[in-house]
Amino acid sequence: MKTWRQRAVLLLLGLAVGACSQDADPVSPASASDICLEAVSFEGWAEKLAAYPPDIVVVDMWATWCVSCLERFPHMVALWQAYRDKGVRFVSLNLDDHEDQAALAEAREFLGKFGAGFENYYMDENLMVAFARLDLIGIPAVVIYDRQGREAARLTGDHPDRQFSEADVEAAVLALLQGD
Amino acid sequence: MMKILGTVPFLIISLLHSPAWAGEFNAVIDIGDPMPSFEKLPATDGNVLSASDLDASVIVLVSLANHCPWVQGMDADLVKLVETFSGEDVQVIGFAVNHREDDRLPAMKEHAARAGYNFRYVFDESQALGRALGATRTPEYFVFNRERKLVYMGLLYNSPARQTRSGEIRRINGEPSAFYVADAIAATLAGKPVPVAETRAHGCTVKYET
Repeated sequence: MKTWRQRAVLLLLGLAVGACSQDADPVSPASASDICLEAVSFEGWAEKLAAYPPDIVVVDMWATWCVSCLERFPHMVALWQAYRDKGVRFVSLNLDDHEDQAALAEAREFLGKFGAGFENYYMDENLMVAFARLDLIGIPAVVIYDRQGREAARLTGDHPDRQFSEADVEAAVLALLQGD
Repeated sequence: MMKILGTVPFLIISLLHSPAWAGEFNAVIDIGDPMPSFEKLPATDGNVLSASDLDASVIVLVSLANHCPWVQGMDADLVKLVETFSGEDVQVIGFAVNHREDDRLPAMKEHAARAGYNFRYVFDESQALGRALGATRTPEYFVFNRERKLVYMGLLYNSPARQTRSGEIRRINGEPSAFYVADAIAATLAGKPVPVAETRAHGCTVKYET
């Protein structure tokens, strides 16, 4: 349970990293400064996922401390640009320390720099609990949901012999599109 | 028929990307499995190290990566762990797997000197050791007993620490209160069962070459 003081800090933090107006269009920002990085709880995340069908959803889980995540993120933006008009929704879920204001500010700056004009969230929960609740061993991780909201693919580096590339992400999206 | 065909891509993708787990959090190795062998891995001290060179009652292998903020954030605690067991029959070996320039041997030598590493630090350039251990995080610990069976794998302790770009050390859960590796070493030295055998390692992802 957060105290009122913690909540006040988090509110200010939200303003600092880019509060998300309900009037704003997070999918088509006019400029990098319009990039929205919105806090989400476990419950809020579940609600977001439940609301996405019938869109195919590609969720990129990343953090500023994850160099591999940063290196591959521009490819995700390119995929978004290629598939955004085909009923495929791209979403990023940041897994920086939710109490690390500098990291969240850096995350938003990074998203703006690379034109991540899709929905961007950060998990407003304890980081270790978040990994457990999301059933993650590590990041980068890309989870793809089909039009029924079922998890269709989970691309991770959890097995040394089954590393994934952007081609795998695109192949998974194409496979779902071909299944339409 | 169309419905059945429509599920095929879903099934194929799931099968391709769902590792059959060996341990609770490790796709390759499980508690009780033997320590993988390794031969003549180059170390930061200029020598080479093989599994057959290790003769202590307890062997700790830990995957490391110089560039990783979680490794940097817990370097001091790793050094402290080695100091704690310096008079005991324990050997700690760090190994690096990544091929990025800032994780390779020349950078490892600089990092080991800077961080005051008081243990052997080897470069697993073939990535064979890392693969055999299913090591996918840095840092990730593997503790083996005298029979060279795995008795613990995962976190150092229950509050992983990261070094920020400004040099600050930030822990996820404040001061650690459960010291999994130290407890595993102590229990194994005493011939007792390890209290917690596996935890979900937290850190950077090891990059395996395909």
